[in-house]
Amino acid sequence: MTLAAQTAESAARALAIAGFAVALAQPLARLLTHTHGRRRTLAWALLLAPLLTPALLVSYAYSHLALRLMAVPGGIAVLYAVVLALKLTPVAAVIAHFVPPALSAEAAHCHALLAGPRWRRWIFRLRGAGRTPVVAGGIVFLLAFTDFELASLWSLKTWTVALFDAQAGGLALGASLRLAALPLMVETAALAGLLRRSRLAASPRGAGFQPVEVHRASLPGVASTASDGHRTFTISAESKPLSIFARRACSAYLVCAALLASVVPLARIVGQAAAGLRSIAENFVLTRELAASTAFALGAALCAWPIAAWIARRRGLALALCLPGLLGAMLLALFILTAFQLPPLRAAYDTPLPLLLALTLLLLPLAVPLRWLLDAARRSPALHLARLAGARPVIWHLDTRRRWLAACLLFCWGYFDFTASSILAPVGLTPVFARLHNLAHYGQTAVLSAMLLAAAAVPVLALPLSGLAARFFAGRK
Amino acid sequence: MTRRRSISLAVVATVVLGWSYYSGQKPRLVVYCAHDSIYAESILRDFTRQTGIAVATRYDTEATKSLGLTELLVREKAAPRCDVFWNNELLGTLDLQDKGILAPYRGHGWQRIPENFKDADGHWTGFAARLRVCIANGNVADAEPMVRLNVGVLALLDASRFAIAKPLYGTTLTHYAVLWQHWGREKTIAWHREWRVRGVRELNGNATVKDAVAQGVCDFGYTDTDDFFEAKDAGLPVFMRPVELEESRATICIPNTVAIIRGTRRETDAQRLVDFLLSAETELALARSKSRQIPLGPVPADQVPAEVRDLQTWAQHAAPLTNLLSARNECLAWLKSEYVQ
Repeated sequence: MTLAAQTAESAARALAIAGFAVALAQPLARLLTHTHGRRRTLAWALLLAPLLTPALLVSYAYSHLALRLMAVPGGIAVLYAVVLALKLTPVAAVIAHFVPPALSAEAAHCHALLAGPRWRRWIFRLRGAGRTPVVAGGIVFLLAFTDFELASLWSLKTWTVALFDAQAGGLALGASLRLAALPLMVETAALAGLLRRSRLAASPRGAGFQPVEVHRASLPGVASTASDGHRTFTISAESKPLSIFARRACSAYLVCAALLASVVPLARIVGQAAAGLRSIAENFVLTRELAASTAFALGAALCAWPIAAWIARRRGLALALCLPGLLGAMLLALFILTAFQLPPLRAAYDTPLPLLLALTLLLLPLAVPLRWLLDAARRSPALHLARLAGARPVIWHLDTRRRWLAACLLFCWGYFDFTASSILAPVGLTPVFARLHNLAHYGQTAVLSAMLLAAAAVPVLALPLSGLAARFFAGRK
Repeated sequence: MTRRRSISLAVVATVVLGWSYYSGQKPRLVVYCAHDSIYAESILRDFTRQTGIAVATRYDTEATKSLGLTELLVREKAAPRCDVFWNNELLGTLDLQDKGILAPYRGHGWQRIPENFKDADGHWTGFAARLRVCIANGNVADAEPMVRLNVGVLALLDASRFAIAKPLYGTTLTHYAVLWQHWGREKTIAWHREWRVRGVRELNGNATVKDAVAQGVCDFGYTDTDDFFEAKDAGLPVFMRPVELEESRATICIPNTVAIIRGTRRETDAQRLVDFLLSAETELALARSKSRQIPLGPVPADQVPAEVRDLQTWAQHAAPLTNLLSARNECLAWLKSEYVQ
């Protein structure tokens, strides 16, 4: 299969996944909005579990199934598309949750009373959905189109795998990048479409840069007024609750997705790891890799966060710095590798700088929206009063906790990276997931499962500790 | 001081401290290693323990075995970072020698290796070899006589039940280069294309081929002895037969190779590592490891595992590989045009 055919196939698959994710995003967002208390926490956990489970863990756990599916025509392609869809649907749901449609439930109801045929109602709703589906679909498309990690371990023929093969197989870097021209064109077209539609946060004057449609229910304490640059308005309409059937269907989806893309792979690895834990406890060889992963993820998160704060109010700069990350880790890493092999930057080649730069750029498309959301939340009168009163628990609840969660998300995103790490890591500082991905090609063993578990456990153990520290310092100026 | 300034200061301090820690570290001997990290690691740790020389290793991925590092060495020729290259095959090393990237060294390790597994000037030296084998699933009827069939005849069977790694890299590339030399360009291309049309399963690497056969997804596959023994040790129903060329019945025996990179700034340390890897102790350690590598130099026979002694017999009938560089380069150029379009 030629690279053009592989690109077309990847684009078609990404389009289908984006369609699936967008179709589910609104009902899932409404489910989250109208669920309260512990159920709400559970719903969020179930939604985010597939997204936050490392791709390597999932591909490793299902590697035997993938191998068996090779005997079934199209079997492995279906498995790949399903797992990718389960992993990326939460992205669309989260976007839909925080950026709800411009059309209120009341407006939709009024139009339903007045409108004639059913298809007119659908068209009205589609137009009323605003830019959210396009933005969510565009981002899911880009993430699905640029996936490499799941595909490579399952021997799938995608353009990312072909490009990696070409690069490792001796094609000159320039030739590899020329080969990437077609996928790059697809990505650029998707990005251009995305940018046309994603003016949700942009002020026409270019000075203001604030979220205009932050959902009141999704951010308790957020002021319900927002500005689009022209006028200030109040978000008064809550989204309509789901019917009981839809609610149950959405809940069932969340449970199934979390089971398939998170719980089953984890349970499988834990089961296998039991026999290997003793071996790795006696001879733990991953210390250096774990330290490298933690340092790179921490460094990238520490760099991305203030940069995001700085660019969040500068629209052009924000878009310019987020674009490289949206191109995907593979192309970005190849570009950075090329740059650092040129004479002016050669001194920094084989140092931590190229990987740190790549990870920072990969984190920015996540860090900037997080900044927008947090900045909106920090204008809350409740938080202002809590600060005046010096009420630490309230400050923690309304502000510090969210910032800590955002930092954790950035850290995990960087920590679980494999693609950029495998291309750019300097000698002797290989991040743990790049190393484990290499070992995972040898098949499943108890020791390897134990290593994977140890690698995944580091953020799980470290982040609550950092949360305690953050809580301790909450409210201090 | 405002919170923002504190954070900016913390970021700058972290980066500066991290950088100074990284740049202040004791320089290490840089080894690019294409051999499986699970086996190479313990050998390199022993070296550090015995000599006190710290080693920083860059491993390759299973899927792009050896060729990724070979290409990296070519790209870094102007400003080499690597001191010692431990390749898991020969032809890539020959290519590096041809490009003037390797420095000669004839130490006591070089002296104990037979002539046909080393460069006369010491640009590279072979050690601890593997055989290319046809692996079969033990549950398949008549599989045993079938693995004895040669490459050409096997290709006539149901191709969809046969697995092979992508031939762009590693020992599968060596396998193809041998066929290219043996059959010639036209026959190799025709054989390969027909096999693909008939649905041969092309997988990521030799380990995946082993898995596919061991789990019954495929009946046969081409892989290496180390992968076969992994499946056998796991109690999976597999058996194997070394790949033999038609007429000559020669096997394909692929040694690890070690070489010093020209321009290294740690020449003495590099030479010590080369001698360490070429020692009888290292060859025996690799023979006794799960990968059952075949010692090429003289070692006490009673210390070699029985399974490896059988392999040694096969290795004695190996086709010469040292004259394959042009065949490998022609074959690789064609494979790239075939796979990377």
